[in-house]
Amino acid sequence: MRLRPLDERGLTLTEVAIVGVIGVLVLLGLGGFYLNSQATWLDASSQSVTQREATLVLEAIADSVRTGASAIATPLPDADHGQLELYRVDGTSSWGFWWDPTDSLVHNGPDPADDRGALLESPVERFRVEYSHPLVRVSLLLRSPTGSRIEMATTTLLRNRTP
Amino acid sequence: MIGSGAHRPPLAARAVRAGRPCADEGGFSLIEALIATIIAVLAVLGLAYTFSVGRGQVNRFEVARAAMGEAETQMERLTLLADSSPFSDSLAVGYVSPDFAFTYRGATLGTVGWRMEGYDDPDLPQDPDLRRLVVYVRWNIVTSDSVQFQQLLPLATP
Repeated sequence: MRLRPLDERGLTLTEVAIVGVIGVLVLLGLGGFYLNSQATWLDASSQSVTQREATLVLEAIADSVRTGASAIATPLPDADHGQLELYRVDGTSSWGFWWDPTDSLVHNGPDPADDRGALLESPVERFRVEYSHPLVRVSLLLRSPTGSRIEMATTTLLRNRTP
Repeated sequence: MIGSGAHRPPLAARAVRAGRPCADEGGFSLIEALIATIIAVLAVLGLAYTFSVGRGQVNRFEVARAAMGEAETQMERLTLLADSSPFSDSLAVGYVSPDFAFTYRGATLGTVGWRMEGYDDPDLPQDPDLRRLVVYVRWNIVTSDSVQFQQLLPLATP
């Protein structure tokens, strides 16, 4: 008869299997948490960048509007996208903002033929401009890289208008 | 690891044979494992909480930016009114407007209003010397929040 040693140590196959299953569950939980956190982080940071872009665009437009005397707002190419042309007191064109369908961004410049580039990087789903003398209303709807939509609007007074 | 007692120190081997607990037994006790687990869970929960707080702040600032646009709009309209009708009752010192709805993406989130206060410039003889127009937007999502703009206007004297 063969005797088993009294001080036999180590792990049985069942113990190893249980530890393995628990380890896999823990890894899955941590991995899920990590992926979820990363997705949340990306979504939040891209959304905040898009919010800042919307604020920047509206402030840039508002600054130009305040220096203007008159404006023309044209829905172009459709009702949700437009073009804003600003004029000085002497009637000459001062600056303009328009939605470019080639890149879905808001561009600016003296006029569309002299494009000074896009004001932002996030795609613009709506750029609506309305003019009711002497107020100019601009409404923006941007899409962040992760798909969140940011909506902002403001109204600005033409300060250099002739009475 | 599956092993034998060949490499066990003589002291431990003797203790096992005598049925006594081994003095140099290694490993973790159940209490230690539980404490480590609790600490790990707390760390993960803390991390998750920071993410949720960060996400909440982004949403909060989204509404705050929309509120800022609304306050700017109201301020521009009232400035226009102050230019065209300086003696309007809506801009008289002491006037407090009723609350109007502040809507964002089709939902009413709060209220917009304004008030007109007298403003005393210490370097000028009159009291008050100017009017201070205060436009505010208040909303309540989880907690109360507000945006407030102020602008000084000349005192309207007919």
